[in-house]
Formats: sequence, C-alpha cells, structure tokens
Amino acid sequence: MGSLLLPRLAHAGLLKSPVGINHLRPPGAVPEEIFPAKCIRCGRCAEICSYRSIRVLDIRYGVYAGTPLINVEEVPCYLCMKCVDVCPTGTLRRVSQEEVRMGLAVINRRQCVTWRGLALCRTCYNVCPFKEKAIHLDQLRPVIDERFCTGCGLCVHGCPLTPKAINIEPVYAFERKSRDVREEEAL
Amino acid sequence: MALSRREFLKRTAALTAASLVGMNLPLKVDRAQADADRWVRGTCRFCGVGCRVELGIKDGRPVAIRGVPQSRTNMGYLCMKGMLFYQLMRHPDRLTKPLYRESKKEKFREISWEEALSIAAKKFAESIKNHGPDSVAYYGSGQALTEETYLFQKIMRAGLRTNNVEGNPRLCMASAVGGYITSFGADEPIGSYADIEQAFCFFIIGSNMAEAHPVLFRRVMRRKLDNPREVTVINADPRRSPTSRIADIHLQFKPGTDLALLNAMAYVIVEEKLYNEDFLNNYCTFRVGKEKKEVSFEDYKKFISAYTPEKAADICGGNITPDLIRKVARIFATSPATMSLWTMGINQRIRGVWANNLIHNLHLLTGQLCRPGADSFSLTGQPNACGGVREGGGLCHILPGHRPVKVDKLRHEVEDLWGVPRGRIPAKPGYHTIAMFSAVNEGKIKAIWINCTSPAQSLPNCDKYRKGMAREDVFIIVTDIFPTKTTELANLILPTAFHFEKTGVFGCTERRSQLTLKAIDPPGEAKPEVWIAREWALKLAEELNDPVIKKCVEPFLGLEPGYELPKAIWTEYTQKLTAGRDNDLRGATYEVLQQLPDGVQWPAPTKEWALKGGTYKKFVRGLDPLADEHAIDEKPYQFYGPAHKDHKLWVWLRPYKGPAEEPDAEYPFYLSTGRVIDHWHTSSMTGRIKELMRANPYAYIEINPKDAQRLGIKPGDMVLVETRRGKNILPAKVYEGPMEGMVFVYWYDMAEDRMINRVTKDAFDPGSKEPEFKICACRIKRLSGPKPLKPYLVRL
Amino acid sequence: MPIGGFVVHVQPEEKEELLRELSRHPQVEVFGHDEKGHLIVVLETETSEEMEALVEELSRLRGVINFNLAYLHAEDEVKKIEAGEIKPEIRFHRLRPEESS
Repeated sequence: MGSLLLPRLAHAGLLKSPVGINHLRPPGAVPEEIFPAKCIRCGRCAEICSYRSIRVLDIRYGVYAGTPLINVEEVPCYLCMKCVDVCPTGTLRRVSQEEVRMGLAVINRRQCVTWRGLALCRTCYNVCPFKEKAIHLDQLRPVIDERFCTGCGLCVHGCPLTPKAINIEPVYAFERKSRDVREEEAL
Repeated sequence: MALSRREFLKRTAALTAASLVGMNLPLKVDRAQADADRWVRGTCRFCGVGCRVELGIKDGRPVAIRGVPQSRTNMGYLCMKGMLFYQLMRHPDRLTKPLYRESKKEKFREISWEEALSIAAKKFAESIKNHGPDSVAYYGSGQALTEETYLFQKIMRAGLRTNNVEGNPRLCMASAVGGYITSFGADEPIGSYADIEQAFCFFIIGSNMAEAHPVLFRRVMRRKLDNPREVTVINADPRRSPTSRIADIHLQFKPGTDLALLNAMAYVIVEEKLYNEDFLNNYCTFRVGKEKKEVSFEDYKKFISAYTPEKAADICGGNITPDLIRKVARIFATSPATMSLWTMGINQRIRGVWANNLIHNLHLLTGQLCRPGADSFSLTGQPNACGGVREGGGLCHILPGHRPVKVDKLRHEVEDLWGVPRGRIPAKPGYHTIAMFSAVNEGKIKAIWINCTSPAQSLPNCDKYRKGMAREDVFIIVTDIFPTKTTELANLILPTAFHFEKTGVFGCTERRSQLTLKAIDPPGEAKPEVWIAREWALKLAEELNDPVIKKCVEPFLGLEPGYELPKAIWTEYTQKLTAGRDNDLRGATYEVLQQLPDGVQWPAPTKEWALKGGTYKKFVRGLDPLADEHAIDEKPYQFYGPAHKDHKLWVWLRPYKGPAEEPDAEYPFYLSTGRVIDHWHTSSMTGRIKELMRANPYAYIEINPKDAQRLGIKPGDMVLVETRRGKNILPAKVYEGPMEGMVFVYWYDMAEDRMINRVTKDAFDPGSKEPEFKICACRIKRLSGPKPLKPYLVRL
Repeated sequence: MPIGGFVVHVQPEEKEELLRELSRHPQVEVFGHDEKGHLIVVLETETSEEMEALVEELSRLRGVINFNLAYLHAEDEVKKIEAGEIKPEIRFHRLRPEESS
C-alpha cells in the first residue's frame, strides 16, 4: 500500500507530465507547459463529465496531482463540450467541437488488420464523430486527416485489436506557448 | 505448424511491401493462428456471402478463425465478425440446459432433456387435439442448417399436417424470390460472384454492401480500383453510405421512389433504342397484371411512356435530375457487362416484388444477362436463407426443391418420396410470417416452435406481436444458443449446438452449398437441432398415436447426431427431393462436399459435374447441364425454370407505387433502418464479442446536418423518435449520411429504448408478404444533451 | 541479419525476364507480382552494407524502374553491434574535402 503513495515513477518523479499516448488533457486545454500552473484543481470538469471520461490525478502524480486527464483507451471523450464551459480559469478554453485538438490519431499500419490485408475492419471509421473528414477510407483502408482529427479517442476505444492499431499522440500538448501567452505573462 | 521467427519477419516484410501497392499476397502472419493444433474447415456463420473459413483448435478449445486464400468466395478475406466468432463457442452466456416454466410470469427452472421433449410433444399434441393441426407452427431461420430446416418442415407438414412452416427469410428475401420467379421462372441468381471480376458496370441499389456484405464488396472495389477507367460503379440509395462513397455516381432519391427511377431508366433505354432486339425477340415476352396477360412490345412502350425522366426526377427528388437518369441508363445499357446488386432496400418494400421485376426488366431489355459479368444478382442477408429455406422448403408456400404447396402434382410427389399417404400435406399454404404472429395475437396459434431467430426483436412493429407472444395461452418453445428478446417470452428454452459444434450444409447467395464439419462438442447439455427434432417427433408419434409421424423420422433413427444423422438427412433431401428439380443437388453428396471445401453450385445432377464445382451460370448451354437436358431448340440460352412453361423471360409492366406510409405534417421525416459492419441482426451473437460491442455499444440515430441544425440537435444529444406505433430514445449522430428529411437507425440494439423495430411499420408486400421495414414516417425531437449509455444484452 | 521488404516497379514486358534473373540470387525471394509490373521482393543479407550493395546491383537490372524499401528489420544487426561482433563504419565528423571526392 505504501508504494501507492510514492511518486509514480521514482526516476521521472514529480515533474514528469502525465500526458502521453492515449493519455490526454480534456478538450481546449492550454499547452502542457503552462497547464499545471493555470489549472486550479477545482475538479469541476471531472464532475460535469457525464461519461466519466475525465479522471482527476491523485497524489502520485506530483505537481500534476488534481489535474484532469482522459485515458481514451478506457473511456474516450464524446466531445459533449460541457467541461470547457465550467472551467473557471480558462485552462480549458471555450473551443467548439471541431476545434478540439486533444491529440492526433495515428494508425499503426503494421498492426492494423485491414492494412495488413488480413481482414476487413473499419471500426475506427465507423465510430469517428467526424467520419469522412477525420478518417476516410482509401481502398477500404482507414486514413487519418490531421486537419480534422480532434483526438477524441473514440477510434482507440473502438479498435478491436490488442495492442491497439490506432493511438492518439498528444502532438499539440507540447507545442511551445504561443507568443501572446508569453507576452501576457510578461506584463 | 509454428512459423520460425525468420520466416515470420520475411512474411511481414513482404506483406508490408505488398500493402503499399494494394497487392494481395496469400500469406498469413498472425501468430495466434499459427499456434492452433488443427484447423477445421467450414463457412462463416454470419452473412450470406458464404466466406470459407477455418477454425483453429488448440487443446480442444477454439482459438482462432482464419480465411483461406484459395477460397472462391472470399479469397482469404474475412471481416471482424467472421474473424472473432470463435469466442462465442465457449462464451459463459451460452445456454447449456433445457429451461422450463409453466407460466410466463414464473422463473425458469432447469429440467432434463427427457422431460423437456415430453413437455414439447405434449403441448403440441394437446393443441392439435383441441384446436386442429393449424393451431401449431414452426418459425425457423435462414441461419439454421439445411438439414435442420428440412427435418423440421418434414415433421410439421407430413407429420403434423400443417403448412405453418415459416422463417425469418420472409423478412429478408421473400421479395427477391418473388422477383426471380415472376421474371425468370426460377428462383435464385443466374450468375455467380465470379461475374464481379468480369463486369464493367455495377448497379448497386438499395444495398449498403460495404457494411452488410463487406467481403464481397471488397471484390467489387478491387475490380473498380484495378480498372478505374473501364469500370463504373453506380449506387442508388437515399442514404450516403460507405458503399456510395466509392461509387462514381450516387443517385440519392427519396425513399420509396425507386419504382419510378427504374421505370424511367427503362424509358431511356427504349426511347434511345438502347435495347437488345435479338435478346428480346428470342427470349422475352411482356406481361401485365395478376392474370399474367401477355402483351406486345408496343404495349410496353406505351406503358413506359408515362415515366419520362423529367417526371421521374420530379417524383424522386434528392439529387436526381433527368440528365442523371439518362446518363445512368446509357451506362447501364451500353457497358460491355452490367451487374446489378441489391438487398433489403429493394426487398423490404410494399412493392418489393415489383421493384425486383423492374431491375430484371433493365437486364432483359438490354440483354445484360447470361454473359460473363452480366447478371441481375440479389444478395442474401443470412448464411443459409438460400440453401435451407428457399430450397429446403422453409416457407409456408413452398415444399423442398422449389415446389409450390398449391400444385397437387408436386405435393403428391413429395408425399410419395417421403412414403406418407397422399393427402397428408394440406393443399393450402400456411400462415406467412406477419399472418402467423397475427394469429398468435388472436390466439389462433396455441403452440409455436421458434428456432434460431428472435422475432420479438426482428419483427416490424414488434410491440404489437410481443403482446401476442406474451399471452399465457400460447406455448412458446425457443431453440437457441444465447438468451434473446424471444427467450424472454418463452415457456421452454432448448439449448442448441452452435456452428462447428455440429455438421451441416449452408447454401450461400450464389447457389453454393458448403459443408461445415463438427470440430468440437457443444458445451453442457446443448444438442444439435436435428437430434432435438428427431427425438421430439418420436414423442409426438406416441402422444398423438400416429405412426406417420414416426415414419417421417424412421430413416434417421439411431444415427449419431454429430455427423451420421445430418448426413442421412442431407442424402434423403438431395437424392430424393432435389432430383429432377432446378436445384438438383444429387451430385453434392457429403463425400463430394468433403472433397471440395469450396462446395458445389447447383444444378449439380451428377457427381462428375459436382466435382467440377457445379454450375457457374444457369440456363447457358454448355455451362449448365440442365440447360442441355431441357433444351427445346438450338438457342444458346434455355430458360427451363419451373414457373414459366413457355421457357421465356418475362418483362413486367409494373406501375409506380410509393411507400405505405409517407411523411406528412404530423410525422415529417422518413425513417429507415439498417446494419453496421460490426453487428449482425439482433446482436445476440456479435454483442457478446467484446471487441465488437466496444466499437458499437449502442444504436444511434443518424440525422442530416441541415435537419439537425434546424431542430437544434447536436451530436450526442438524446433524440426522441416517434411514429404512429411507438417511440425510441436514441443518441444522435449528425452527419451527411441520410438525405435531408430522412433519419436512419441501426436495428441491432436490444435495449427497449433503442429497439427500432418497436416503431417500424408492419405493412407488407401483397405478393411476397415481406414487410416494409425500410420506410415509415416519424417525427424527431431533442430531449436532452448527451447522456452516457450502457450497452444492453438480454441475460437470463 | 537485416531483412528488407521492397516494392519493385518494372516494365511489365520485362517482368518475366527479371523474375528469372532474380531467382538466381540466393538472397532474394519474390513473394508476388502483378500484371502492372509490381514485384514484392524480400532481401536477406548479412549486413546492411551488403543489402545496400545488393539493392544497387538489382536496381541496375534491365527493366527495373525503381526499387523501393517498404520494410526493414535490422534488430539482429543492432544486437550484434551492441555485442561488439560487428563494427560499423560511422564517421562522426564532417567529410573533409579529400574524403568526399
């Protein structure tokens, strides 16, 4: 039991961001660089989430304890956009459904049975809330269009393979702060 | 045989390279598959394509399913349903003991097989003694093996003297049967899947085959992609589906206006003289009305003149313009070989037979028939609707071997072949499906046996019929592998063996019969249906003191149920009942089917012919042995179908008729239903495969973005769907699928709130008696924002 | 030993001749080909350098339009390098003018 209270990874420790493949911040989140500073850990986003997609991190996550995280492999984000409305600090910005960029879905073509030519599966295409835009079929094989993919993770959740052949990479979370944010801080 | 690591790496390398240029290599690298001790061959349990599969067994447990690259149907490809159904064989929800309750209010209790069969026989016998033979019924399935359907209908007809033998194919392809018989004189397609690789124009109407027949659609797509300029794919559907997305032309018309569209295409073909005069003169006549009156080509021209493309475009709405109709008709008529493909969008209509006729008309006018690649090809939804029910006598009006019940000569022929006294089979056809469940509602049927299907969920307007099934004075026996919506209403549940737990034949869409071998024992006390039917018949014979019932199962007494019993039934059916009929299967014995994993396409009157694979194209001399046998002249095509004594194909004059219920001010939307690739029918099987259920945990309603905006509905919002019959509450999916003014719902979900057949309409085609699932009027309203929903499955 | 999967584009009319030519190489395995002139070829060599040289050689064969790598497995080679069995020639500095010429 005692070990549960220790920081999650002894060597990565208290400062390692919990954001990673399939582990994402809720919609509209500011860059990870400033997320833990801006989030006041009020927990309202997790409270309003009717799908229980958003989980609040516990003390093992060091400075990130109390911040919200979505593990799309367990419960994906259904983009109901309630959390962005209740965030009191603007850590989750009020974006519309299409503007959400939690990450980008990436298909592992060596794992995907359709790409390997073993079977015909198009689950990721079927479950995508922006199908034909974010995922379309090329010769019956799924292809992602990063212009439209929100990173909601429905495709990851749906993928029938273990390990998953489609995963969300949090490519936007580690973008540097935009200039205006930095300028704002400087003032 | 396990692959060496080096070999595995080399194969992976080759497959990755091949996938870049879209080449198919006959290789498999899945390691789980390579781990099985032995592979047992058979067909897939799901849709009507009839994919050849192999079940991998390790330590007596099923561990994998794989495709076979040499297969003629699927060429090694499978969809996820087919790949994963081995999980069902040892599923914890499997029914393993006979369950009984006196009243439908009580709880089920486990009983022995002896007791169960005695109760089943006693209840049927009581009902017959008190209310006559027509107070009992059998409702079967296009998923039962041919041997099962055949044995049940034999016991019902000859043993219990009733033609109340029906099956769910009535809900799925009865209109296609009607269409083939009235147009070509013989049921089932003329050509085969092999025509796909030779066709130059695909006319796909009323079918989302990319999801409902994915593996076959792959062949269509392959053909198109390999010859992008030469091959044209036309899809006609009110909904934009994955099928329409690869089509060159998508005709989006208002639901139920297909008859106008098809007649207008015929108009263009006639007006622009694109018809094939030789073919019409040699092989066709024109017919009209109930009396099947023969008329001239001039009469047909006069009739068709009412369907100008301008008028049809007006009726059809959507994106249909007169020019588009002309363009499509020209491509259809002038392509080197045109193949039409359709399913439920055409069949599930109150004029389903007419819609089928009108598709056939286009082929007859243009002579796009009997040549390689040219065919009018109806797709079937279930794995054995063709083989078991259409050919095996599984509907109330037909006896085995495509024999109508009404024809005295054919009925007596069957009685003689079975060795029962003449007059034993009643001359009057029994209740068709909707009539059968209406009779249950009215209390006219006192005992019904439901085998391998779930009418409580699959009947249109099912609430109405569930009321009848819930009556205490109706005794319901259900044979199934899992609890379903129907077992909830049963008195007696009998656990049966699943696919690969028994031996038997499935006959797929292209007249192909394939044998699936028993690989493992069924779990618990589950038994093959053929055993259940035989033992039940023996008890019935005792109860009713009728030796003729015993006579029905006498050839099968004492046989081992895993292989010998189905073999004996198949032998009787093929050698006696199909002899001399158009679906002659005498060559396709179990020995031959054992030798040919791809099975045999009938007609196959001799073993020699069957060993060549059977008949690829019916009616063509040189390709079809019966065409030579029944030839009346020197022409290359001989249309010997049993329904057309004149050996001609009939072009029908069928007027336009809209759907039974059109939208109005009160119910302004069209409601249509359909399938998603990951689930099959009522999801009692696919819902128990966790990978598939996770992908599609519940049904939703597809709404066009324009309608959604107008009604303030956002993705995920809970939407109330109301029709004159009931209501559903479903989450919304807003996307460019259905056309404006139309909504679309998947029908697999078992949850009461999301079971769409509670609201669909039970109007049916007067010819085929197939209900119009696909079209009714509804209204929709936003109820609330998104709500988390749970997947639902019936459990005991 | 590295294993590489390649898509080879060839002039369709030269395909048969080329297939015969490839069958003479023990390190080459052809897994499939189609009428449009795609060949699926798997090469297996002792070292990456050897594979490079082999690709060079094969792509000069008559009729070959190009020789595209699609999949490369070199894990075993990496292990050998780690174990010190192979010493790869890697330069860590910029090429001097005399080296590059």
